[in-house]
Amino acid sequence: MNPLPQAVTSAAIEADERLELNSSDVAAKEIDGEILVMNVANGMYYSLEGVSAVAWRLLAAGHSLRHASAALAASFGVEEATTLEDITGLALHLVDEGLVTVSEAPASAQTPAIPEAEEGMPYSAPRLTAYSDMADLLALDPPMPGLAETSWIAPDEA
Amino acid sequence: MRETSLSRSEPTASRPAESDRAAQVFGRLRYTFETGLKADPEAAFVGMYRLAGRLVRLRVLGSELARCAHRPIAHLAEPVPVPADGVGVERPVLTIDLWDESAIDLACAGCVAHDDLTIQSQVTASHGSRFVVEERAQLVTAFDRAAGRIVGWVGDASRLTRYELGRPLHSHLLLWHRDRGVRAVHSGLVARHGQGVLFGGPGGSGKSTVSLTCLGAGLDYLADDYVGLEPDGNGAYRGYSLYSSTAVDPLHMRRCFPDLVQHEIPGVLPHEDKSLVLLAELFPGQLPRVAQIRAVALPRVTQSERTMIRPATTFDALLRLAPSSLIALPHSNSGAEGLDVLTDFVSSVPAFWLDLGRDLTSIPVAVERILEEALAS
Repeated sequence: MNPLPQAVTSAAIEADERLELNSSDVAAKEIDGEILVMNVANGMYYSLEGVSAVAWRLLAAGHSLRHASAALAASFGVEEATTLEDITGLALHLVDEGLVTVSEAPASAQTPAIPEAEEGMPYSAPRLTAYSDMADLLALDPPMPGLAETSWIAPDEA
Repeated sequence: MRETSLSRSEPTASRPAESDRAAQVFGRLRYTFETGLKADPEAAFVGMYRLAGRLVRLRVLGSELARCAHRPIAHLAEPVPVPADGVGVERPVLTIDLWDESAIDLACAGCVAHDDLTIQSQVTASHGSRFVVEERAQLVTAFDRAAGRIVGWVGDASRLTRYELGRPLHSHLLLWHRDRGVRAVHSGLVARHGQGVLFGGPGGSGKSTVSLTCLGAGLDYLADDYVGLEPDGNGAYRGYSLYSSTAVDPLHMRRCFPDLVQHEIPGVLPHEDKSLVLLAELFPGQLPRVAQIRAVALPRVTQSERTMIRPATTFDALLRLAPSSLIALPHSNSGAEGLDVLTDFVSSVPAFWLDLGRDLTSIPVAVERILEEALAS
């Protein structure tokens, strides 16, 4: 596993835009404060914890980058300019990895509740931790070509 | 063969021509098999099995193919009494019909054997995915999901690959299980008195080593690669055995499991770098069909001498289990649903790290301790 390097995308995301999950290929789950995100289309998967998990929750709830960064700043007691830059970096990574897209729908007008920072959790720029070992695993246990396109919904009884 | 396969950019529903073809292939295979069966009904091997708790009937024309089809699922065989009046007879929910053209000289239109065994398999589905056809170098099989029937032609049973011998009808059976709410999970499973420990982790993490050392130490073995996972309705989960086959690196087998060497079936293709061993006939009585899963253990290789256990978080368990189950197995249309199921599962049982030491005898001791702690909790 490794933290992802700086985003290489040339696309920009405006502070008032929001993200939405690329739900056709991506599934995400939170357990005990940690987030697992899987891209079943390319085998990459990711985890987010601590500040990163807080940032994910805010973005996943449909808040704009601006509102999310304001909530993050208030929660951890840091400058909003810092959190906006950091959360924009995370958002670009998420877009780069195909996990989310920039939504055309308007962001939630509601200001998010300020998330409660875990006691003693210091602020750090939110990052994705990426796992690429599925490429090896897929080589060991090859999937069956074509089955990926087969509907898992059982057909009606004949 | 290849031109019929689907691609990611062309979903099943948009290919009406495929609909006809998959259904037609199934129809041709069924008609041909029934013709052969009618010609010599006494020659058919007929066996009953219990897969994921459901009764399944296997009928095979061709003695070598019958042996090949039976051996990996021999531990699932079910002696079914047939009352004279027929009342109370449990009907199979799935019938599998196979024949070997080389043995009984029964050809099927459209079924062509290829000498090149490395040809990649192709799966084609009908509109709505009722019919699913899989084509490989030496076999064509078709599954009617609504009718609960699989029919298959084999060109020459003696030319089946190690993969086909170890996991016959793998893709169809995964789909059949999935249709019944039994999800294939990339994991191993051993048990004592019906109470199981499931081993989660990616390839190379030690699932097979742990499962096989436990088997050698007297625990029951259900799987070292794929387990059928089903909720029991009371917040707990059952794990079903699918195949009795294991695939082990030949050098690893010689070093760690020398007793298995005389039974190994070496791979023949370039990518078949592991040898196959069919365990049902070697360990009669130690391969149950099902176990209640009481704990998840997450093996990983360490440099220690002894195997140690320590608590793992639910998230650790999900991180080790979900990606390899949902990505390596074809669940791309149900990733979110699959993740929900696995999250429920890992939340229902305690999880432990299983730090594997060099001393293999310490592995089953550690697994027994996990089971004891899980049952006590």
